[in-house]
Amino acid sequence: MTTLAALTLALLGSPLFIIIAALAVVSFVGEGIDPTVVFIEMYRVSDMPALSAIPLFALTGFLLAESGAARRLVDMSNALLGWLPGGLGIVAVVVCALLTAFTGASGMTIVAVGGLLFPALLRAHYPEGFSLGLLTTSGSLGLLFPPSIPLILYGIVSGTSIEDLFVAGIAPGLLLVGLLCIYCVVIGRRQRASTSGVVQPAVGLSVDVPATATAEARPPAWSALREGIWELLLPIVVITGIYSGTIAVSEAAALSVLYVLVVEMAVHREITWRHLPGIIHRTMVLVGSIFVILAAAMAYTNFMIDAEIPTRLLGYIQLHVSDRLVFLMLLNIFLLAVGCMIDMFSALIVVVPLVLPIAKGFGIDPVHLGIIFLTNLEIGYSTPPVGLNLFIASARFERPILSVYRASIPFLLLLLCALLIITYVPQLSLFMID
Amino acid sequence: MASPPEDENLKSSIPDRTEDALLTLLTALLVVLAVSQIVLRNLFTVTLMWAEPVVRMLVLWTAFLGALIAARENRHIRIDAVLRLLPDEKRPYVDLLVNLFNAVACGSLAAIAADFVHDEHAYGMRGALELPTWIFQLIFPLAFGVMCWRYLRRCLSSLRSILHKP
Repeated sequence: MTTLAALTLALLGSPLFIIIAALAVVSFVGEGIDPTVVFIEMYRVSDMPALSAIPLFALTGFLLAESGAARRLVDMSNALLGWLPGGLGIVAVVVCALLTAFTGASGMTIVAVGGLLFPALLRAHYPEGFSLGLLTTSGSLGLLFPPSIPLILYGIVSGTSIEDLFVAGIAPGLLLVGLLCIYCVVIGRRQRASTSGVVQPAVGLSVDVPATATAEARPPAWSALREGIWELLLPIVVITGIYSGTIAVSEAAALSVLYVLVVEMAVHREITWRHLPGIIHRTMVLVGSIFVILAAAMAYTNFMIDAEIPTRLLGYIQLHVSDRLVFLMLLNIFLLAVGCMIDMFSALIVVVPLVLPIAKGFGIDPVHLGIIFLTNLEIGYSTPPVGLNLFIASARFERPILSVYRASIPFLLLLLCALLIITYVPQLSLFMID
Repeated sequence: MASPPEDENLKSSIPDRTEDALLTLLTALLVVLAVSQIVLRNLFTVTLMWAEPVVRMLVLWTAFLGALIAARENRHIRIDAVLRLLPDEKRPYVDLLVNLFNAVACGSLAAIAADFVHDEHAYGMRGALELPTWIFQLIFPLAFGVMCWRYLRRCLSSLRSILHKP
């Protein structure tokens, strides 16, 4: 009865943290436990390891998104990769992946990059459906790369080593990026063949590089590289720092903020002191809305674990499913549905504590489970009918939602293939971890 | 009728600006402290023992401040798939129901949080900077109390748009 009421209110748009906190209070009171326990649990959130990494990396992402970093990354990768068949498509995939690793899955990637790349792709005679689908599905690509906030959040919620997750995400992330790049090459070849004779205006995406520069591509390439090198160094520094064990995840987060502040305020001078309150505001509203769900869910999942709900669920599932592969298949279907219903952060916070013990019962490594989780949620983001990326893309590119649905289908099929590989080849995620 | 414009009556007021200023200030403090901690440790091998717990409390406070501003701007994470399918004229009714629930839930949570802080005060536990923990935990009743108020005002504005229907 309570659950039904909660579900109805959630579907009608009541904030998830209120639903979860209310459920926690009602459950504890129902067991005759003092509801102040809810706040003991909420306060315990502040003890979680690597907690400060979330606001700090989020701030890094927002700073990058609000500066001209997206444009510089586009120019630079265009200079490096634009000459390939399907080059501009590859540029889109790579830039989206790089940016999303820092901005997380908040739709910021589509907003930041889409405005540059969508017109550019159309100008270069890529089919509209292809361009639309590419940018829509690429909007959450890169979540498997460090230091993505969903990866950190999974580590925190599941008690898994964040460093291990950072290592584990790389190969599966490259698989997703690689498959999309191959598709871009295929489409690019076809497009080149059909428009042969037309000079592909691959350069000329931003105001800095004139569109006529195609013939003399050398100097723009060099200047694009020089412009973008600062931002390109950031992931390299962060990743080597963490992998070499020199710095902890939360330290890397603090250093990234410092680095991006210096680069955007002193080197490029695109962000001034006056911009900072607004950027902090937007960052912390996002972080706060994730954090309260985390706090509320701490209380509620602890209640569920005390009530041995995951254990009972495991028993029930094991009665019907004995095979690990079948379980993984069911898990994927379940997570895809979750991923297109609710946003990634709440999905992680709410579902991980329930699924983790069950998956362990089936002998699935928690790190591998994390990668499966994130891949699913990433795909769920662009899955019709209610994947968030679809709506963001529809609004950003001013195209009807149904065309966005149609456009994203081939990409989703590709990503689903990658998901199957990631799910059934655990070595892909685990081979670099002892 | 189209859904009412977002927050016509929630223009930036003094309490709003206080929240914004406090959020900016505490987040800046968080960044400065987190950064200087690393710089000091790695360049000067000085470890600030007190810094880590303070950073954690700053995360707690900035996050809850962010959350109550999210309530003001109606930006909390929610499932809006069903809302998208809802015809515009039904919106105010659903909004009224949902916001009424939100207000009641946040109000009860604020009361429970106040109880919790009261208990902690009685236990006299100490946290960051040797300060009593209840001071840090004050953010709970504060945040839920303000959110309750925010959702009550939303109820009023939904009620108004129901009554003023042409």
